[in-house]
Amino acid sequence: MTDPSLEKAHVDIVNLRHSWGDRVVYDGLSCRFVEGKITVILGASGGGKTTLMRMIACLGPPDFGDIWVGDQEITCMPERQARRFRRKVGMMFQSGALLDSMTVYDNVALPLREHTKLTEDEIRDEVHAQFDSVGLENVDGLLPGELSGGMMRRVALARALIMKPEILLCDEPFSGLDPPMVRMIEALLVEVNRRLGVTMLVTSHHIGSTLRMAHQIVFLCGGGAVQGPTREIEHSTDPRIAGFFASGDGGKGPGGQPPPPGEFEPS
Amino acid sequence: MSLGWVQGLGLRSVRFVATLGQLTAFLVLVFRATFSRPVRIRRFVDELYQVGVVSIPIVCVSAATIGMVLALQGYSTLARFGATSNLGAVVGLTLIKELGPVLTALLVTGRAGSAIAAEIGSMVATQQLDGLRLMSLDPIDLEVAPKAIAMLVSMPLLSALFIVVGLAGGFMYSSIALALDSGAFLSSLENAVVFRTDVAGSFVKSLVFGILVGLIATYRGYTAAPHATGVSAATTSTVVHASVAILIFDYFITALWEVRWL
Ligand SMILES: Nc1ncnc2c1ncn2[C@@H]1O[C@H](COP(=O)(O)OP(=O)(O)O)[C@@H](O)[C@H]1O
Ligand SMILES: [Mg+2]
Repeated sequence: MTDPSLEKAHVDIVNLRHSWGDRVVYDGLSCRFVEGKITVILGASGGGKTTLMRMIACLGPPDFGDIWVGDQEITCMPERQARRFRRKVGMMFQSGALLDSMTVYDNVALPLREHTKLTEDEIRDEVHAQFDSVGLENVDGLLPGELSGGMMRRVALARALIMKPEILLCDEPFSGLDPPMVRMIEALLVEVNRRLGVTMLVTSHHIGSTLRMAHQIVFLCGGGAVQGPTREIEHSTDPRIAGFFASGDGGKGPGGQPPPPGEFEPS
Repeated sequence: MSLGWVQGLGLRSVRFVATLGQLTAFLVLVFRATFSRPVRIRRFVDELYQVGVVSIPIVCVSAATIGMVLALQGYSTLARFGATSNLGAVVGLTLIKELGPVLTALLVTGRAGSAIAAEIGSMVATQQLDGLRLMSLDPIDLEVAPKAIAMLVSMPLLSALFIVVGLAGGFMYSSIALALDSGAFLSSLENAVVFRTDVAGSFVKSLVFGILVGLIATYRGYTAAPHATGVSAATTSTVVHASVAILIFDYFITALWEVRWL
């Protein structure tokens, strides 16, 4: 596999610094995400994986540093411009973030209704095609609260893809799923990447699926990142990375940093 | 030690002014979203139901009770001056000018204002609003503005309902329980109430209270910290701040309005 530094970066993070109160999350973080590839972001829980995704989705600026998406710098964009930018980005939130008050169908149809001039019939065809492609059927009338974990991830994926984004952000798509379901969602994500060629950023604790699906790995630790092709990171001699992989359960073993007590974890 | 106290006071004043500034900026955003296209009639009607209809029972029950209490209290006071034929005027003016708008606003704050804050706050906590942003949609346009406007519209209507039910309660109590002349009650009511001052003033009050409660409830929900504790804090502070704001504004509106018509 080729070195990511030689390929065309779709998302380029340059010297990011950020802290929440006294807690420094990034201290000069730089990394890049290659166009059309799957990059898995690994790191201990509380290591700033979700925060990084939110920054790339323009949901909160860093204290310092640049985020380039294509030839656009997004950290200082006013909200109106950010809204236009987000058309290029789809995000699968860890919690799903589906609107509780709407049916699954309406949730996925909402962006089409708001941003396109399609008729209701065309919207129905489009939504059902999207449901098919993520392996959902007969879910139209269900409310998000009635979905199982695996179904909820699929609906979230369908909603993230409905506007045909160039970049797909998946925050912990495997957390809380049983092993067969992890395999299924993993296969689905790989298939989406292959079919649509979207640049995919996936955060995960899950080492097995990371090694199977990732083209590249960005390993967040100590406020910075170590980045490389999957095999290279897997066999890295860096003690923090080696420890993470050796522990098997992601960050709770000897090498990883256990989450600090009283940590604030949204979602 | 005394310096610490002064510092604390200074810090709190600065924070208060900052909050007022943010609240104003928020008001501008809500206002802009309301008049931007598309106009979301359906969302507004849904919210009007959520805010208005759910408050009807509590408003009716409270109004009937207050009307009866006013009749009884008014009667025992007026009887000392031999002026019980003016009972209609006392009950009517108290309800229209003061208790109708104020009590309605307090009741609606507890019933619907807290619900709005909790609903928006939990959407923040579960990232539903971020989900909307990711779809290039504006949460203020879709979720906040319809709720705030529904509050603004339903407050005068609920206040009018409170006044009507309160009057009916007072009238029935005076004619049945107190066995007073019902004609005297009605004619004193009719002679005392002036539309241009009393009724219009009541309307202005409930309109202002509607804006206050709608704004505070949506702002508290929207700025809630993204976890369960944040949501409950937003709900509590909505009830406290909106109630205090209602009473303070009530004084100023009354003072300005009465001076105007003196
Ligand atoms: N909105 C926020 N306010 C304060 N602290 C936050 C916020 N979001 C995240 N954090 C803190 O930032 C750190 C990184 O969080 P996060 O990005 O969620 O980590 P991860 O997704 O890797 O588990 C955590 O310590 C968390 O407590
Ligand atoms: Mg996370």
